[in-house]
Amino acid sequence: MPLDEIIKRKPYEKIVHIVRRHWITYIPTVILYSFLAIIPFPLLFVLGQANPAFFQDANARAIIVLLVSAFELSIALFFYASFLMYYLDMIIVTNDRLVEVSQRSLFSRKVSELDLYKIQDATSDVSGVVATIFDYGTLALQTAGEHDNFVFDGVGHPHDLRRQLLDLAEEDRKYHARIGAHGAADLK
Amino acid sequence: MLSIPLFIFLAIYCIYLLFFLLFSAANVYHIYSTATFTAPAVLITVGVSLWCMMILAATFIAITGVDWQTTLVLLGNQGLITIQ
Repeated sequence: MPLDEIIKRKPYEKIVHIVRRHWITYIPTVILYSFLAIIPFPLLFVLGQANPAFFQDANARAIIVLLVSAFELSIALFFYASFLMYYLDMIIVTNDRLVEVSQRSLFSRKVSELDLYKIQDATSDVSGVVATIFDYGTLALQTAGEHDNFVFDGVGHPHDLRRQLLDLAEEDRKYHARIGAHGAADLK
Repeated sequence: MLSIPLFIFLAIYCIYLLFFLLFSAANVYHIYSTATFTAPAVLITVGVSLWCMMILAATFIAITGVDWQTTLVLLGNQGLITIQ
């Protein structure tokens, strides 16, 4: 599975969760692109009223059709690219670590990971009417060591996710403590 | 006075279509490479593909019958743009 290649899954690892931003966070983008897609038509109507002779010419119409077509295709392309950036941004939670895949542009992807046992503190924040209704918000993870804190915006059910992550982190800490006490060979 | 044959616009549009296809293929490859063949991804992909096909079909219908050998005169003495 290609997702395994992205996170370089270890043999003993199993994926527990794949978390994406809540779909409601993508709605403003849909509205923006819908608005941009309909812009040429009222504009052409106004221009047609201002200069009817130009629009009656078949060749002039052909140039306008090509321009509008290129504009609409560009809107479709950018809309799809923005969907990919929304959809391919994800957090993959395994029983060993947490991998954040950040699709920053079409040809730029950042992958960062965090061992679950290093999670010291987790904070979930749901603020605002819309966020409360649709249950999405911010999840912040504080880690041990010099690593930056992980902050995920717009994730769905952040309180549940925080609890699950803390449980998984506790299990992973116990596993690492057993390794420390008996050595990795004894556990195999 | 500057004359431009109308087919130049068609040629530029065709070059644009080439770039459009390349970037669309790159987009679809991302879905393939991350194996995100989930219902939302497939739905959006099919929706955007249908949208693009409708635009291309409407464009094709609208430009059928245009004489591309016609010359467009820019900055002529009859106005800013004249079609001959």
